[in-house]
Amino acid sequence: MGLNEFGLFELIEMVKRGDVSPFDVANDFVAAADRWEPRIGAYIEFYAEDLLAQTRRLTEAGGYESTRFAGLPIAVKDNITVRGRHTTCGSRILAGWSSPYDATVIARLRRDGAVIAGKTNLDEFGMGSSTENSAFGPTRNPWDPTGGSIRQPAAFCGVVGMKPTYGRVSRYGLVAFASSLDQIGPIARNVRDCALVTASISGWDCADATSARVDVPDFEAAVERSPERGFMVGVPWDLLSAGMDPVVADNFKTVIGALESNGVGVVDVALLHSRYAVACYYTIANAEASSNLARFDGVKYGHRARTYDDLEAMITRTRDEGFGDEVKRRILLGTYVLSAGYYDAFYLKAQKVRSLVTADFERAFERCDAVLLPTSPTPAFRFGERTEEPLEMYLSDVFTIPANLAGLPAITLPSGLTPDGMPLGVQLIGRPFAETTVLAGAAALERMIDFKGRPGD
Amino acid sequence: MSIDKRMIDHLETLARIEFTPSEKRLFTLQLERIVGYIKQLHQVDTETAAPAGPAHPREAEAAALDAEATPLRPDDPGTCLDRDAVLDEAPESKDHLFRVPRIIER
Repeated sequence: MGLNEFGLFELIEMVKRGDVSPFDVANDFVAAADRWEPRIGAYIEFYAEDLLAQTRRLTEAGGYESTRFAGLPIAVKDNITVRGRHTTCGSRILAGWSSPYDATVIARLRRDGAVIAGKTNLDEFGMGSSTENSAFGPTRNPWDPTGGSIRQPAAFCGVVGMKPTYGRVSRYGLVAFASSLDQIGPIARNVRDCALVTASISGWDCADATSARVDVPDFEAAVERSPERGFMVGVPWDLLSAGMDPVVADNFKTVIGALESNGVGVVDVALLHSRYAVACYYTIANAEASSNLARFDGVKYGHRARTYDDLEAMITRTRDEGFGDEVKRRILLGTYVLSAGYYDAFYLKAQKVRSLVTADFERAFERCDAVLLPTSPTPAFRFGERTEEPLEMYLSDVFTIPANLAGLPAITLPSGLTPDGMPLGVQLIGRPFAETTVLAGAAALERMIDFKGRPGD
Repeated sequence: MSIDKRMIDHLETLARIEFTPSEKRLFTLQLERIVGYIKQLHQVDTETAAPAGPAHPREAEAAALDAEATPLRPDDPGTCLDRDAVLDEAPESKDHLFRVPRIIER
């Protein structure tokens, strides 16, 4: 087993015991990237040379054993800025642009001893669910090379993904898409690794006005604990009745069975308005995106058109050349719902529906500690399956979006495989700032499910 | 409230993007479908939705929490971005300024 196949926490323990050095680990990761990248294409830019040079230096210097990440590599999505390196957001409009500053999460990861391994692919400005909208080509799912946020990709790839509470992690240095919805979080092999990274990046940042000045509890300790006696899980059957692939439904029933046989109470909760969550989200998110993406005008950074007669043409041509189709569609929709005559009927209405979605969760949390539901209504779909009709892609978000609208912490973990061998995921959603409850519940569920699948099995 | 060519032209101007004719045709159709979908929000009774004003107790509580939990930082000057680093990455710059086509007619 290569070093790259161990989880983060396990590797940190090995490094701290002196069994391996950070340089040994980095070497293995570079070798793994050489092997897998031609087929998978997970990275827009993999910092192979930097990774080796930096970890060799810190291995020689020593002292890494006392840091949280012990000199190990962490990759970041390419909408998070790293000073002096490219940030593309998966778009031509920023191709070749280097950032003059580090995102807060980068500074925190480095403070805690991590080395940045590179920038990973994304749909352009995060708009999509499969990387089919990346200007740099799609990333292939290692479980099935014909097919390709945080929770959905994690579920489709059989790993763990966590979205913290809105305001828990600083957005300074995250290129904005939808400012009231964006959150940074980890994708990792297991719940404990997610807890480790979330612990590092969480905490108030005065550079982000939406960052919450609240205490950060001990997330790592949370995964060691069993959930409190009387831990109750709520299942929103009304939302699930909107439609689930039978394979997903079967797996979900198995998960519920496992919880019940381990003494966890399972109750029915009503998330009445979550059936409108996709419509609500795509109104609000696109409105905010149309505003946030107005800054890409060819003036200060990124692409600029070559031929134009005046400033207006320079801007309009730059944006047509630089943005892909999905981005343009969303800017158009966002502009429409914010425009005079339509603002009340669409944007304002959506914000009211949003508060109803949040209120549903508040009521649900009177009866349970966490809401449990599948992460996706279907297993991973193939390239091209959802690109004909934009709406179909949006509908795949029906189970993940409600937690975003309500700003709640949510985690996905692998819950099994389909008969075809593709991974499925299940998610837990918690109260605001209750990541410890969500992590404890997820760690317990992870132990119960004991998922052992690997790609290529 | 249907999406026709006039609406797309209007949105194109607001969004400052110059579409090709085939993009206009495609987006008109697609936008029509998406707007048709989001119109379902009109079915939702939002009379009882948390009102915008501070009168509602939950709103007031949330506002108080917000003020404490997301405080403004002190208005103290500090280091900003490195100007040269920023200008090096600009499409065109001159004399420590971003350079763009003429804005004001002679």
